[in-house]
Amino acid sequence: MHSPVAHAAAATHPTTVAASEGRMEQFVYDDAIVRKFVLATIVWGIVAMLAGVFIAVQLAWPAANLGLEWTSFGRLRPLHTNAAIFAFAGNAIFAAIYYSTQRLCKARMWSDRLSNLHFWGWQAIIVSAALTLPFGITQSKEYAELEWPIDLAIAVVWVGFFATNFFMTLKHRRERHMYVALWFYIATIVTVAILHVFNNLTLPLAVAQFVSSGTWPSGADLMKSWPVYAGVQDAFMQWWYGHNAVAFFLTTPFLGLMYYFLPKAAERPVYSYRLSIVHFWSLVFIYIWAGPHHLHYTALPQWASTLGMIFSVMLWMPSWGGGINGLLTLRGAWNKVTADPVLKFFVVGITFYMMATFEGPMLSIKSVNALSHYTDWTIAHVHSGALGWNGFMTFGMLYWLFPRLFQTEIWSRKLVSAHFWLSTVGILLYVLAIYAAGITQGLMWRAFDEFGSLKWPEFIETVTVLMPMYWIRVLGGLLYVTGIVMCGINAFMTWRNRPAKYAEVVHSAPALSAVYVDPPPPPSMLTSNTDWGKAVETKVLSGWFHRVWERKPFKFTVFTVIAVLVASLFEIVPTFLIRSNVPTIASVQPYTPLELLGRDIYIAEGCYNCHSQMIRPMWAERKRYGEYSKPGEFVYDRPFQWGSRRIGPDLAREGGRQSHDWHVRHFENPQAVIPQSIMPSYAHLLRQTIDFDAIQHRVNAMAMLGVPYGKAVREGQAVELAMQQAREINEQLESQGDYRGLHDKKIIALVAYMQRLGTDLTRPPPAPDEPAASP
Amino acid sequence: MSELMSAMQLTTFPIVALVLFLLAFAAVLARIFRAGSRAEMDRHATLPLDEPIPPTSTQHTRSH
Ligand code: HEC
Repeated sequence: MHSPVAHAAAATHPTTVAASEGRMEQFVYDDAIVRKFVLATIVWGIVAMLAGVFIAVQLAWPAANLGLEWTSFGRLRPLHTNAAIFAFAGNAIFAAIYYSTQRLCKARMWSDRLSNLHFWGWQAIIVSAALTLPFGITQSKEYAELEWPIDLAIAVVWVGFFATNFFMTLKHRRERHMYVALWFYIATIVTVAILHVFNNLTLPLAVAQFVSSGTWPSGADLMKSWPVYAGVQDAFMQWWYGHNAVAFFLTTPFLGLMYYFLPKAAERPVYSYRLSIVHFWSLVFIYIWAGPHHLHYTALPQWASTLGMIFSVMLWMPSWGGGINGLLTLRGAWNKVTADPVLKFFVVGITFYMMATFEGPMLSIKSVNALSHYTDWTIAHVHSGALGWNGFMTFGMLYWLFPRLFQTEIWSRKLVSAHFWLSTVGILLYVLAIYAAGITQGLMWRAFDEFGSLKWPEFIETVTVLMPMYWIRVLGGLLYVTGIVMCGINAFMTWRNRPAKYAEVVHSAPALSAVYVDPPPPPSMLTSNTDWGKAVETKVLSGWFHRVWERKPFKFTVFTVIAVLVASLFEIVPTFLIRSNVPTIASVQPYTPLELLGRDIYIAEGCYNCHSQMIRPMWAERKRYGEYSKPGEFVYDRPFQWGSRRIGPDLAREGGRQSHDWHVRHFENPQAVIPQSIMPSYAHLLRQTIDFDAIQHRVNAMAMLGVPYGKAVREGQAVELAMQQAREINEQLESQGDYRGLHDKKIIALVAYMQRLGTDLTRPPPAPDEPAASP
Repeated sequence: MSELMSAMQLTTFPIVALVLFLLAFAAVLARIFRAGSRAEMDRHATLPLDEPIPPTSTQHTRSH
């Protein structure tokens, strides 16, 4: 598949070839590492999708969680999302990067040892995620749930192993020009590192406790941490991260994949290389601004939200430009598409990219968002992206790679076709049903009857109506998993037919000469001007500067980082520095020690996966939930718990709405209180006892973060306060119903937190000398 | 710093942002419309295809 075009171009343009004048060198590509990542992609793909199906069943039939605390929806949903993003898509992009970077650089990966450290390190991280999330060890920030020790490991593997290996390979490349796919990889590597570090800045309990008392927390508390940001700022950081994780983990690397593997499979160059350059820079520049569209109508400042909306809408252009560029690559080759399942996967994948990137900006328009936010519409959107775009691009790549990696024909082309059709139908069932669910629920939440009352005042009515659609989702998901299993079987059988020993092709190419001089800028077209004017004209306006960067990975990387950082700073810095952004409300006080503990139970159980704590300033919401949420109410919320989906009702003003007895009965068995409820049972919280000794350290850690806890930080004080409040709540509980002796059980802490939620606004501010943290 | 930032109009930020963005965009356009000959672009575009065929790889595979 030696391209005649390539030869012609190279032959007629000796200038670019002349740039690489070093001596001839021989090298062998490392395909063993690609095979490993390919295997991991398939295995984790099956795990991630099975977890998805499992929790999808739970939403239609709650008893499916087996009644175990470890397998309830709130704990497993993060496992599903993390596995899909970081395990399935993650291993897929590593396979793509390791395969294509070597070829585009005409060089083996710089260090086999780093490649393997990267591979095994990443798998270890995934396993540790699977071992912590079901036990409620979580930061509760979506797609950044993993706790600090794992976060540190991620940073080491990503920067220390992966990035080092990648950039050193670039440095030792034997092709001067960096093909556009490599730019996308560069943007991915640097931006993900930045996002990861800044969103995960936390104070671990272990550190706080060790500093203040010289002791270590025990058990799961060893991994507990709280973000250095609170409330609105935490929300802002989280969605700056969350959105850009979509951009730089699920979009840019897959575009790199597209720009490499699509031309390979189609055996023709990308439609327009110019367009790919615009595509790259506009994505890098625009994406990073769009995060706030996840927080429309929240306590986020208006200007930030509007900015997020404008930049999101601008994303339409580059995304569609890129998608069209991909599809037009197949111009004149559509007959191949009908015959080649690899191309079919790519075509459908790119189509989903265009659909998802059309829908994304649309959802970021405030008036659309008013309807869609917190509903299943968002869920449908992300699945058309993840299953359609990421999944199909991955499968296309895998099927293209199998014969090359295993050096034999693919075992069954029929099975590939079956996989293609099964997953296509699976996605369509999933997405259509969940769109319908989202729009239905959104409309029901805001519907009024002729008297101006909510038409469906009981939240549960808006849940039961979704059940048929939830079952269709289960079916769609099952079809999709079956497809991946078929892919796994095909991979296994192809692998079995591999040659006794893989042939290792020795390639040769000249090394890049050590002394490299940039080509001179074009002659100026200006006849009379200052030297400065001429320089601008020849170096900047002519685009000469960029062509030079394209041959210089480090300069290129620096400018990508600048693009990302400038945008981030313009958004983030004002939110952090302007005091008026977060008006402090005098009556808003820190959580009591017991409530703080209850809040950590809420976080560990993953209640945020089903409940929001953010009432938007809209009439329907104020009627349903009460006064809308103010930024100043969240100044002690570490991490923020605004949530992103209302599978259950908003809880921002839950305090005082129900009796203690109602809550305990409801937590013990929701279906006993609301028969159609799909909330899991939390009966274990009625059995597990509160670790009162740990409370003091929690309060002290919060105080270190600047929470005014006053006297409560004195040794023993927090415990005293917590026990006293627990006794009071228990007395009231016993007087309301049949529960007895729960005063030292975790459920009391959770009820304390529930009853506190949203009540500060209507409470009189404390007298100036009153100890801040008393209940 | 807080005082300084508070004194600024908040709308300044988006405007500065937009200007920066437009400048960057103009630079990229300059790159693609002026720089490089068409032939050079073509060579860059065909880089992924510029690879000798490994002897064992099969482009077209039969089904079993
Ligand atoms: C699978 C999603 C899901 C999870 C996880 C979940 N809930 Fe719920 N929750 C619901 C649904 C649905 C309802 C509405 C029906 C009902 O009241 O049971 C609800 C209702 C509630 C209510 C009643 C609100 C009211 O006043 O009517 C409270 C309080 C509550 N949940 C708290 C929690 C807490 C605390 C957690 C975590 C320990 C949690 N929920 C986890 C789905 C969920």
